[in-house]
Amino acid sequence: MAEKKNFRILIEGVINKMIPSNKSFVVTKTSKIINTNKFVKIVKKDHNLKEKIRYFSDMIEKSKIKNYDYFINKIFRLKVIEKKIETQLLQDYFTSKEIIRKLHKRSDLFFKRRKKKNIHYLLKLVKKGKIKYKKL
Amino acid sequence: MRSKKINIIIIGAGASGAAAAWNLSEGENKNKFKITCLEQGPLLNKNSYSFNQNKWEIYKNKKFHIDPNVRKLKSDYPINDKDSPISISNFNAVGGSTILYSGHFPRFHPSDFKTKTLDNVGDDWPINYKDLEPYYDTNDKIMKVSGLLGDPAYPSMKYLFPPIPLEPAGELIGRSFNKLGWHWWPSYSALFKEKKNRENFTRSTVNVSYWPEALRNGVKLKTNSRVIKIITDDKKNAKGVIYINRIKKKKFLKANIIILACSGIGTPRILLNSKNKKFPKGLANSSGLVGKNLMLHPLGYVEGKFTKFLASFRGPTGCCIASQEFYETKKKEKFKRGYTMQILRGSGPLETAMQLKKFNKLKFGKSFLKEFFGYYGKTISIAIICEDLPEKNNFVELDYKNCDSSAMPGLKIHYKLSDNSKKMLVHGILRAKKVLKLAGAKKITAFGPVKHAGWHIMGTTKMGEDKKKSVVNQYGQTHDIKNLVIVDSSIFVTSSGVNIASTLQALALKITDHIKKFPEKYTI
Repeated sequence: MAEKKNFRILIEGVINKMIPSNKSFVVTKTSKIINTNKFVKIVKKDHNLKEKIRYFSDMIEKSKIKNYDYFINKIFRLKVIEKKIETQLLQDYFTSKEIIRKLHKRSDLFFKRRKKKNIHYLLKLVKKGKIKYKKL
Repeated sequence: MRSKKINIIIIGAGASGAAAAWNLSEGENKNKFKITCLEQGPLLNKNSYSFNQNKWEIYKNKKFHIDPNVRKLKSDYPINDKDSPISISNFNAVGGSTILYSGHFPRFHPSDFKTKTLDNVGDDWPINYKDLEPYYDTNDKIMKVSGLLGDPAYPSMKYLFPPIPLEPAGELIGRSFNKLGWHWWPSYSALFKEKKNRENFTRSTVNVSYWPEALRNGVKLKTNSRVIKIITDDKKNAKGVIYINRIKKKKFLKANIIILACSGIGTPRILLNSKNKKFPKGLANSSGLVGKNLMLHPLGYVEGKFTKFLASFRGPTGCCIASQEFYETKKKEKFKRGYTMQILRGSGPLETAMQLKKFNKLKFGKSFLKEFFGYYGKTISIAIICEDLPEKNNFVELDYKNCDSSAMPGLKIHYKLSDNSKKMLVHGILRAKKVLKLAGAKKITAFGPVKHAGWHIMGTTKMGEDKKKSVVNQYGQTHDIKNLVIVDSSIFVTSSGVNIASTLQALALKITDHIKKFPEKYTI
C-alpha cells in the first residue's frame, strides 16, 4: 500500500517538476490538469524503471521524515522518468481542456487590443503587387 | 421500351472520383448511367478528421499520419520510397487526400498548359486554361472556395466566398512583400463556416461537397472495396473489375465504362497490375509511359522567429497568403518555370512543443513554459512549392516484395530532384529568407526538399494527342482501350507550381461532361 502511494507521489512530483506551474499562465499543477494514472502505468510497465522508483520508495519508507521533495528532485535531476514519458506528457498537457482554454484566453486578450479590419483594408494592403499573369 | 443503362464504375472516391460521380449523376443525361464507385478505404465520420478538435495534434501523428507507411491502415498499400528524397503523402478513404489537405485551392496559370511553347521545357497540354475555366468556376462554387477577387496573377474568377482574414502574421508578411514590390495575394482556400459552428472554419473535403449530392442522385458507393485488376475481353475492351470486398472476398463487377480516379500512384498501380496476354506491359501501356514521368512538387521550408507575439497559429491550418512573383520563367534566372511562396499559419501548441523538443530548444524544468512561449505564436513559415518538370527517369513500378492486405503488390518510387528543381529551390529559399528578414524575423531556419511533401503526384499516365507519347487523350480516354478513362492527376502533362486539387477536379468535371454528351464514344 505504502509503495503504491509513494509511487504515485513520486511520479506526480516529477511531472510537476517537468512542467511547473507558472503564475502568469497557469497556476494549477500539471498533475491536476492531466490524468496521471496513465504515467504511473507507463513507469510500472518498464521493469528497470519500476525497480529504480521502488528503490527511492524504499528509501522514503526507511527514513523517519518522509521528505518526498528531496527524492522527487533527485529523480527529476537523474532524468530517469523523463525520456519514458516526455512524448505522452506533451501530448496530454497541450491537448488538455485546461491548457487549450488558457491558450485561447491568452490570444483573445491579444486580439481584443487590436482593431477589427474589414475587406477594404485588405484591398488597400494587397493592391501593391505589380505582377500580371501571362496572357496567351 | 426502357433503354438499357450504361454501367459506369469509378475507382476511387477522392477529389477526382467524387467530382466525376457527382457530374455523371447530374443533368439531363443522368438517367442514362448506373454509377458505382469502388473505394478501398472506409467512409469516415467527418468529426473524426476535423482539424478543429483538441486532440487533432495527436491523431495527425497516428491514425491520420500523412505517410501511409507510418499509418499502415488496412486501406493503405506499401510504398517503397527509399530511392526518393520525397516520400508520398496521401490518405485512402472516401474523400481521399482531401481528408488531410489544408484546403489551399489555387488554379493553374494559363502558361502552365503551354510550357513547351513558352519555355521549351516539359510539354504542352492538348487543352488550355480557357477550356478548363468554366469547370474551375463550377468547382470553386461547389467546393466553397474563398478568396479575394482581382488577383493580377490570374485571369478573373467568378465565384469566391469572402477571403479568410489575414490575421497579424499575414499582414506583417504582406507588408514585407509590399516593401519589396513583389506580388502577394490572400490564399484561395476551400474553407467555410458552418451554421452550427461560426467560430472555426471547416475544410471543404469532397465528403461535404460532392458526395452528399452524388449519393442523393443515386450513385452507389462501395467502401472497403479494393480494385486489384481491370479485366479486358478478347476485343481488348475493358469488361469489368475484380475487387476485394470488406470481408476479403474476391468479386467481379461488370461495366461498360471504367473510370480511374486513384491518384498519380494508385492509377498506374492498377493498370500495371492488370497486365494480361493481350496487354503484357499493363493496360493502356502501349506507349510504355504508364508509371513514367512522375512529378512531385519539391518543397522548401523557411521559418522565421519573431520577438513579438503574432498569434501566428490563429486561423485555419494551412496557407494564409501566396506570392507568385517568381512563378513564370525569368530570363536572368538559371532555371526554367518557377514557384509559389506560400505563407503558412503557425503550428498548434503540441506541434510547437514537439518540434522544439526535437531540436533541443525546449527543456523540462523551471524554464519550460518560458521557452515554449518564446516560440508559440511567434513563428511564421514560408513554403516554396516548385514546379517539377516531367522526366522519364522519375517513375513508379510495382513492388512485388511488399504487398498490401489484399496481397496486391505495393509500389516502388524512383525519383530524383532535377538540377532545375534544385536551382529553383535554392532561389526560393533565399527569397523567402529576404521576406522574413524584412518583416523583422530575428532567427531564420531553412531546409529543402521537405521529405514528407509528396502530396501532389502527377504525370504517370500523361495526356496527349500522340498515342506513342501519351497514355490518354484530352478527354481522359486511354488511347489503347476506348472504354477506360482516367480523371485524376496522373494525366497531368506538367505540374505547375501550385496545389493541384482545383485543377484535377476541374479536369474530372470536363472529362465527365464529355462522357455525358457523347457516351457512344466511350462504349463498345
